[in-house]
Amino acid sequence: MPSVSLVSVFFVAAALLAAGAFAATWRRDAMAAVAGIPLMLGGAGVALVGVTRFAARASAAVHTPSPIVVSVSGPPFGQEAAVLAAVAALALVALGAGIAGRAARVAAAAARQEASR
Amino acid sequence: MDSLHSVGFYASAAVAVVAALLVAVLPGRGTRALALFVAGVGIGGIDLALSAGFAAGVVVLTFAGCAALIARHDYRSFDFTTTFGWRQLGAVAAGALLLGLAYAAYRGSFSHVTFNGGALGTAAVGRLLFAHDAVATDAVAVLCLIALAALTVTWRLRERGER
Repeated sequence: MPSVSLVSVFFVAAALLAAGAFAATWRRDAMAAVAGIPLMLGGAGVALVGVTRFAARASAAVHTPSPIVVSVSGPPFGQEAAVLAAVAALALVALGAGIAGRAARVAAAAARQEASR
Repeated sequence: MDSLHSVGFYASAAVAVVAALLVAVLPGRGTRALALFVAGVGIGGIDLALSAGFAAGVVVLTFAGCAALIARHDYRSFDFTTTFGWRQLGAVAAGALLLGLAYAAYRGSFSHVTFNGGALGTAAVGRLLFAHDAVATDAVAVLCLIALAALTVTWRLRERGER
């Protein structure tokens, strides 16, 4: 089993983001297309968490008296951004559901009006 | 990263990517919502393998909420009036996006460091959310409030229209 690196995390994040974009563009139904939003933001969140896990700020490097430089991870900004992206995805899906419901209602009313003529 | 975390990462990644593709191609809204929830569990597993337990919990909860919204019983279908050619163009663009991002990740040069943040990181993320980046947290909270208000107004209007 190959060890996990930042590149493999980015590959998975890219696959999730592309799958979300594919779902958003391929589906004709508005609610099915909205389902692509959490996938795209989930992929972005995976990339952000991966950066936090495998990278550190340059200022976080601790120089010891020996020639060894010990890298210390900084604050988990990527995890924070992933949490915010996940909550924003839920809000966007709720907003999309509301807009799609409103559009379906308007379309149904127009169809009824057309039928009554 | 030890082998147990590596196995967890790759297994969760496979589950997440396959479920994400199923979200795009499955026909029924219930099965699509289930696939979305499974994708959320997979992404949560990835986050957990990457020592982001708190983010994993939030991701699973939000994907469960998204799946519940998509699988609503009063769901009404509303189709975009896009032609098949535009949808095909979007699918090809999604494939090109995947290739571009994968190429950028493959060609990138990244440093590798030791992570000392623990398995969950709840306290550190909470400090960032509510102290360091409180404006960003407030912005997302306002977005949630607007979305919930819009959803509630839509449901109320629909209920009145059906009576």
